[in-house]
Amino acid sequence: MNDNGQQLSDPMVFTETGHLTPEMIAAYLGQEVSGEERQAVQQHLLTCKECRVDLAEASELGAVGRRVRWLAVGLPAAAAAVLAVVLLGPATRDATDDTPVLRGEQAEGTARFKAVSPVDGAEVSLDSLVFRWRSEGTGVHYLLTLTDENGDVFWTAGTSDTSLALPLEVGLATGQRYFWYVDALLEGARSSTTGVREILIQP
Amino acid sequence: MTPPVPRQLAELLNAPHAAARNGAWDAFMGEYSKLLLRTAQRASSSRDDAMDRYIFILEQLQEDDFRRLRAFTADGRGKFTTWLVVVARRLCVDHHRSKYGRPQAGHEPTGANSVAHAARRNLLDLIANEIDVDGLEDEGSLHPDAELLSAERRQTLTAAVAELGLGDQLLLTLRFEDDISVEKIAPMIGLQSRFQVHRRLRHVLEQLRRKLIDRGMTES
Ligand SMILES: [Zn+2]
Repeated sequence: MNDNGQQLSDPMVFTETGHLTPEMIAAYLGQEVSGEERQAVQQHLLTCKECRVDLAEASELGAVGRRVRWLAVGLPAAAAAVLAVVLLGPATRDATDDTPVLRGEQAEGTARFKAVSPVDGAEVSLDSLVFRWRSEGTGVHYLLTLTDENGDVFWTAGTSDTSLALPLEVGLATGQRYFWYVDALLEGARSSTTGVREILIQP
Repeated sequence: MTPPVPRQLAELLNAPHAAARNGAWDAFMGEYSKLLLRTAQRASSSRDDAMDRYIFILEQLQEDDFRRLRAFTADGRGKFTTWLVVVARRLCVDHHRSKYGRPQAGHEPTGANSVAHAARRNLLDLIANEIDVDGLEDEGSLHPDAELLSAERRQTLTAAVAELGLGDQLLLTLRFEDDISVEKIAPMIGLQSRFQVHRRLRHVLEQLRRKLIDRGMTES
């Protein structure tokens, strides 16, 4: 028996076949586990793809409505509606798909396009802050979202251009980190995204 | 904090007689049939398979006076829906095994070692690529096939990864080996948002980079 001997035989953590119990996966996702349990769970997950897939599926399918709540805070109604279309669109389509699990970014059904500047992780000055991205074609509408460190939406703006300057009235705090991304609304209710970029506002 | 047992589940498990049980089962299905169907769909390669599995899940959940569902109240931690997805997924695996006599691809314990070994190799290559291991090395010491990690570098990187905390090792595995998006990883490692995952990932990769520099893969 190794150091994990006691945990390996704990029926609360492991099934008879040596995998994590559904109870433990649910408790782990709900962050209702002790430090020891958390360690045992993570140790097992590192070597067991099957339980990682269970965890990913339970996390994604079992977490109903989380995205919607996240979006509902502090957004103008119109922007919230557009964002809901962008973000919930792929998920809704996914519901009728036979998509195999765990294909990562692509599984979300969202194509990528390139953010040009500021580069990821850049330290930027407030008075010269302009966001730029590659064009996704003519007649495409873009939605830029700026969030604080917790992912709460701080500022959002739509444009048909491929750049946006930050209006002065958007009061970003110096020395703070923010995240930004642009979603492009394409034809046929499709969308693509730059993915998340981080910026640090110069003190 | 113990979450309450969902009303539909409590009513089902406490139904006093057959008629009440039938009504409670309908109410339960009204709430969870979509989730169960979706779980079955995502564990299946065709619509027929998905429907077979969905029906199997329902039969198994009802068996022995809802024995499987009663197990949830025995522990009571975590969300019922996350628990139910895992139970349903494992029933899908059982169904596959009972139908074809062997586990589904990706669920087999036999040969899992070699699969895990290959995945591990792949993981190291992906991490090395992220932290630009080649850029860290003297030009003269570059491996003839720059795409592949040399055995020595692989060993150094393996050791450096093993020194990380379990959570950070899991983060690397989920991101690079399983190719899961940062957004989906967040709840899987107890972080609040994809932004925190993004930051954590950068921090971990920077840590690895420094460790490699410390161990002689110098930049100059
Ligand atoms: Zn397992």
